[in-house]
Amino acid sequence: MTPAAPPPSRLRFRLDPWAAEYGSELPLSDPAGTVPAAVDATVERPAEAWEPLRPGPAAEEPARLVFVDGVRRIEARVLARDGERVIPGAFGTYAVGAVVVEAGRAAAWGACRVSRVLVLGAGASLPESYVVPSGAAYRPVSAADDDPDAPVRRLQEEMRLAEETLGEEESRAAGTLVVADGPLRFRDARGAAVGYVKRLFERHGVPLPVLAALAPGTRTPLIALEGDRFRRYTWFLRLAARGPADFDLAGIVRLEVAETVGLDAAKRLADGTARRLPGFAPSRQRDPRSPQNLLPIGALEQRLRREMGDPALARRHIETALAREARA
Amino acid sequence: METGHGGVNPAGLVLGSVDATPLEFWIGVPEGSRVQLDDLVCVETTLADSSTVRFFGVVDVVRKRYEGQAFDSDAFRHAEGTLPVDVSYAAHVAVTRIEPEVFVPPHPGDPARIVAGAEFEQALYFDRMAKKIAIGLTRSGEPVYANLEFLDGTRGAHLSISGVSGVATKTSYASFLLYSLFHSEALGADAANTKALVFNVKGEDLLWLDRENVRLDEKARAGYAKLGLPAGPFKSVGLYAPAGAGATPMPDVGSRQEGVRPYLWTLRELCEQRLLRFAFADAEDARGQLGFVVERVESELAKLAKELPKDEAGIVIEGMVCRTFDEFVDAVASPWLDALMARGNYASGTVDAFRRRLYGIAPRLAPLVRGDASASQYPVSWASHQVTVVDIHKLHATAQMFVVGVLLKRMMAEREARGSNRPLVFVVLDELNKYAPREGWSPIRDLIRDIAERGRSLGVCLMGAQQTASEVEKRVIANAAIKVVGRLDAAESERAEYGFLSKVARLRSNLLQPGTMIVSQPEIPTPVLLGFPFPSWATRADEAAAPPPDPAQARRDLFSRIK
Repeated sequence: MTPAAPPPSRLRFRLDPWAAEYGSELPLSDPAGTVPAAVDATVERPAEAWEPLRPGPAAEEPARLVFVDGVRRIEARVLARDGERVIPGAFGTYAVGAVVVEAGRAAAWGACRVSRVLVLGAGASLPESYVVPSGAAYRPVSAADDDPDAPVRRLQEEMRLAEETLGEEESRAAGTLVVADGPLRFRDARGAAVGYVKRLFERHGVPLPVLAALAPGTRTPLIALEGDRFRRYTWFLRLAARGPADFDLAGIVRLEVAETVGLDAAKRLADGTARRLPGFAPSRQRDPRSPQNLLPIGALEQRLRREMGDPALARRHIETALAREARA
Repeated sequence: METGHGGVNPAGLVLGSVDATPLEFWIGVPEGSRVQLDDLVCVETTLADSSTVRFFGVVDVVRKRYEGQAFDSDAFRHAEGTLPVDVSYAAHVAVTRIEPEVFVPPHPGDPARIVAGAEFEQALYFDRMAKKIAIGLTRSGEPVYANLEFLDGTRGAHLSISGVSGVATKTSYASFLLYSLFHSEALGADAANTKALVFNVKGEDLLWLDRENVRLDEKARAGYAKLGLPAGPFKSVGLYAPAGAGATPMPDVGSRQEGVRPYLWTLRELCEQRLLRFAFADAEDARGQLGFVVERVESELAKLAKELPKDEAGIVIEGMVCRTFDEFVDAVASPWLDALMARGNYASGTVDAFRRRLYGIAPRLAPLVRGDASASQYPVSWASHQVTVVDIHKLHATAQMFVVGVLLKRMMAEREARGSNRPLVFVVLDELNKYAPREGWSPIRDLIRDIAERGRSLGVCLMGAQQTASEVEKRVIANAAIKVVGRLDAAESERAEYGFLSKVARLRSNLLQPGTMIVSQPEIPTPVLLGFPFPSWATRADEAAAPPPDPAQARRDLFSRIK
């Protein structure tokens, strides 16, 4: 646990004394403008025959569900001067993990990976990891933009990458269905992964009355969708009955699967998830993001935050390292 | 930092999420390990100067819960397989010993291991006991000892057993302790002359001590073996039962006659030794002037006894020779009494009350106090056997008081005359709340308090038992070096008399099963829960093995056959 040596770079950065998360609370959903367009809403049913679909008892349920999710946080924001240029940066930590749910068994923890990064904007970077007195090493990462939120977006991207890697790994095991948080990021030809989108920003042309009419455990017919990197099938699913005061879309999630799995496999997955996922919905008392933030995901997020360590302590170590460096 | 070693699989690690202190700390138990209540653990911590400190302690709380979860429904969500959880399994350790005595806290993350054998003995200070007696087994089967120096008067004396009747197994435990004393090497040089006087207050449990228990199973035998004790009956037992009402004194007992000797006192002894007060030992007798009247009568009778011929067992009052207790009562209650009292300043009401009481006790004491020629042949003698059992369970309360009072008085008189604290005598008496009640006065209460206070220097160790220590004379309880509880009533366990129990031990005392006791002794800072093996001596007729053949009887049988 030797004190961190100042980075060899002449780039001297100092703490932005405001608490890390101030100003960074932008939703960081999928960046605007990348909403994929619906290409075909009639792959499963002709438009006039659209109605909520309730999977029959024969619907195939995945034997092994793996929920994959990640959390991230900014621990300290920093600013560096490069001549007249001010470079934004951030110390951040993210963690990705999995929960494995097998039929007839208790839900169990899967992998858990914690990473710490130091993101610098404006294309700046450090040559090696920045080590703080606790021994934690922050891997240097560079963001191209120089706006104040660029480091946060980069951190988010790092976390998404890690989720993608973990999701893909988990999907290789036989009989597994990975439920990955957010839009599906890797192409999967075997029907072993679905993307799970908690918040509905885009209805993909599905009329509001159709969504409003979804009962718990029912889904919409499939829609073929153009997407980032690959095409996919998507469907909407209502997890739980909405409360008396809720908006029409409360309790609805969107799932998607790579088009390469084929229409039949996509239908099976849609039915399987419609039967299986409502059982994981938490009560509203338990989770303010009920019912979309499924029980395994909520518990996983809690665990991942614990694995990341105490944020105040992390910030203190970073401050100490920076202060030592400034004095040196 | 290297912080001690816990072997390959430590039972747990010292937790850092709650304070770890030198006197108590929590350990987290990993999956696959088991730590239970009463386990003794050792944590070794390394100090900055690389010296190590070992903390020994006993587990007094174990708990599991979901970590970081706040909803009761989590258990249901987990059971249906939708919620992953972490279970936190932790044990609280009450420290018993720190070696060396450096009072630093253990380091969070230090491994804890469950100790056995030599380290177990160290944890409970058995290694420091020069003279120790086996007092039971922990649930993990390790023998537990008490320091004999706290019983034999060297550093303390007396033992007090409290517990609910019927479930607390007080009498069984007291007899087990006696068995351990007399059938091990514990007493050393004192073994030869040490005696025990046991009052059988309830049932006939103690009248079979000298017979092997046929129901003893292998498990119990193994228990005795672990304790280093033979499994068998008491080797040397004298049994006494009160004489029945018949003209020829016969022991008045139910299930057993053979080998039981009747006991009674002579009228002469009653007068000579001033024993009449023990017939007036009821709480109500303590009120008013009655005590003075009794004393006055006693001293006059003592004078009369001095004038008796040497081998007279009765008493002569105003020329009337009394051979039975009834005659004695008639003679005392006669105008002789009025004449005697006339000399003092006694209210006539008090004298009448004395008379009424005297007639009241006559039927109770008549079989026990006699004046015929053979009456002097039936004394209780505790010198001839290691353990002498005096049965009083069938006697009326007044007679029970009388027997206990008279025998204890004789015991103390003997010890005072000897003026030494050896040889040792153990006195086992149940129902102390009757004989030495906290409220009220009686001559027996004074005697028992005297034993509690001076017994240590006179070599008398009281093994007292009671349902409720809170109702026994304070000094009797306070003087007991070793305190034992069996099952306690919930309200009783909250009383200050059980301050030696930890909070957890109090709760557990409400659940103790027969055969399990909690023992507190001066050297061990925590009460220890232990069990004692099933008696290897009989406690009732159907458990008793046939008596060993008596050679004299065998010879007589042989001759009878020849004829």
